[in-house]
Amino acid sequence: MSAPVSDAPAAQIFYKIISNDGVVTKMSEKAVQQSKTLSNLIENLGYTIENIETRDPIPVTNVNGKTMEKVAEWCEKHNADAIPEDNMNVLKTLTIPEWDQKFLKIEDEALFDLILASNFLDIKGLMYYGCKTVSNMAKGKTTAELREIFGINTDEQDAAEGGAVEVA
Amino acid sequence: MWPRNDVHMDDGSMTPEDQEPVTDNDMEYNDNGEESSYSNGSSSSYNADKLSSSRPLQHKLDLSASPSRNNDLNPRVEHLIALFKDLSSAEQMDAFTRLLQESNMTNIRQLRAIIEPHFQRDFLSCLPVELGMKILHNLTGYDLLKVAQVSKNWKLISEIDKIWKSLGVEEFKHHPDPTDRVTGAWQGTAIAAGVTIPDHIQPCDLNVHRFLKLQKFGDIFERAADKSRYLRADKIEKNWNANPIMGSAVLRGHEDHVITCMQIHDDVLVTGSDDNTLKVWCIDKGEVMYTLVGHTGGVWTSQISQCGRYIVSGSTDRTVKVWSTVDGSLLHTLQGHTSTVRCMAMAGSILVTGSRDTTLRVWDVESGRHLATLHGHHAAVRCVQFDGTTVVSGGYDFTVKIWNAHTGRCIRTLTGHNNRVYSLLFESERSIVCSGSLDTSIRVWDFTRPEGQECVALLQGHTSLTSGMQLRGNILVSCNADSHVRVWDIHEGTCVHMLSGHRSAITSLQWFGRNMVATSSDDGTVKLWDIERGALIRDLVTLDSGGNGGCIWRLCSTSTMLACAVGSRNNTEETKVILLDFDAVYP
Repeated sequence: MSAPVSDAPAAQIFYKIISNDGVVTKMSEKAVQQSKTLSNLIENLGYTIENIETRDPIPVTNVNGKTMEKVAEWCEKHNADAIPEDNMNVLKTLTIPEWDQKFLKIEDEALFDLILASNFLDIKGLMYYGCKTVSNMAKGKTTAELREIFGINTDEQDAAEGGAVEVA
Repeated sequence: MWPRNDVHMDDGSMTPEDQEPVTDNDMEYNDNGEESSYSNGSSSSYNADKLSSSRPLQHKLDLSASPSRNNDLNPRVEHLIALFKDLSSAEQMDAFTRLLQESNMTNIRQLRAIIEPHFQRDFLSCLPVELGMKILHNLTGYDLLKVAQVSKNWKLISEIDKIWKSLGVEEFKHHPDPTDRVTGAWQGTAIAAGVTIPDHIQPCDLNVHRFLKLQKFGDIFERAADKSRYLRADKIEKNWNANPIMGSAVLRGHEDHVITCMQIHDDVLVTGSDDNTLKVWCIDKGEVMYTLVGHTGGVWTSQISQCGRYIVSGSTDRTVKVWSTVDGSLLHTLQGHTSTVRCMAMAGSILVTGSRDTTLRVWDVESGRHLATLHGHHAAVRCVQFDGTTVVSGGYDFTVKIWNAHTGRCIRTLTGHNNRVYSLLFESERSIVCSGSLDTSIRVWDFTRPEGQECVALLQGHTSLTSGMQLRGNILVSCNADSHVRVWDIHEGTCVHMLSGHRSAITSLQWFGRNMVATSSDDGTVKLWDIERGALIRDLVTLDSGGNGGCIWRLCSTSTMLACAVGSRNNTEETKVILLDFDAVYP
């Protein structure tokens, strides 16, 4: 007989993102704020709390589903982080937290896709950690080791030109 | 056509004769079955039989590994691949696993070489350039040089000027421009009868080197400017550490007299002597510019002002003289001391002089005015340091005193040494004073602490007087008349390294670069040490007369040049200054 009671706290809303291979990934409102590109898409395409359930997923045509799932996982973990300053010097003093070190211990192919995705989606924190991870792969290595680590097969001409030892 | 026909005929001819034996029948059956499946694809039961049996598969693999057969033409391999394609993913995995178990290590290693690249990525070539720059941004200069050798793409990205400009280590940007050092005294070398410079370049190579040296800017326009700076700094360090010494010179003057003091400011070298004169030399041109005449007693101490415009000298004639570096003229004679002027220190245009008369005096060298007299020592003042406000002095009365230069008041007297104080260091930012004494110890003081508690470290181990010290951070390097160099941690109060090699008293030291220290000694040698590893890098100069009177009195350097004052007290070695060049051009 009593009047229906509406939910006082709003339920957490999730955005649905559809990748170029048709995979749909969910991301929370706080998580998408890590990505400037997604935030802009949501705003410009008019997604709101009222219509999010009825509308089509947000299309992201440059990222595949597997990579998007990794991106979403990272953004959920870091949803409370401040966006890093857009400054090259940030990279020099950056240390990669332990969780992120494990998160980024993946095959080169997947790491490559993740860095590209973070660039397209403008997720600075993930981009910096990704680039720093590749830097750490290159630190303190000889030229031969670098070729081996990064799978670079140089033909004779390429090696000759690139490999000319610069006598200081 | 014929061979195939022959096989067929053999099959036909053998059938009626061997039909009865089971073994023969089985072999014939296999051959026939294979033939049949190849031609029409029927007899699935035979296929199943082959897959379940390991022996036929092994046989096939052996054939496929044989160099005599081309895989494209091998029907057995083609058949196997066709079968493989029909399998589900799980079945393919099972087949892979079982095939690997049947393969030898040679083939497995070849497989690994084929598979591994699938897991690798050439990040720098495939990522957008701005991301590649972010990756390289974290590397050191040394790493960037390796990156440039990997491939053409990597070299292009690693040459971006912004990457080199952002290197955190600023050291390599501070070297002055490349020098000539091919004229005047540099036209010859310092190698002579009685003087050995190990690793000196051969005379026949010297002219080629001198020509190359004039190509100062090399390929600088073909690469990032800061990379050129980095490469040059790296070359200079290698020139000090290992490369042949590419130039040297002898400056002759002060004949048969002792060179008592030596300073460098930019390209100016000043030597003072007990012949009552100072000489002002142009290092790059390898020649003397002026001889400063006026003192009536031996010169015992000198300084060049920070601005480089004034030379100041102290003498046994009790006077202090101020000279101009522009034309070598005498600007002022400062009188007041009543005995030998033994030490001095400058900050800006304010000079503090210490004397055997037990006092220190403060002067303005621009106007020649006497500003203050500091009374308090009970014996000769032997060493002094000055930061513009605070004077620190050490004397033969065994004490170190802290003064206010403006008021002339003694702020603090540091006691603890039980013999003469011979050397001092003062780092005003940290209120740290280091004093070396004939009592063999070095004391580290912090004079902001309560009176009587100023001594924060007592460094013991040397066995004679400490002639020189240099401090960076918490690392102190000391040289001593006991022939040893010691490296100390003043925070821990411990000796980190003891460097042995000299055979006689060490007369002076110079710390430059990150970890290189040069020392000069009464044994007639100059040695270069790595104080991080605690090891000798190499001898730079060796006198044959060392041990018979030949000695090296003084040593000083810039980042690209070393000067050492050579002579003897018994005429076994002529008095001269030997210069060594460690400069490099931009590659």
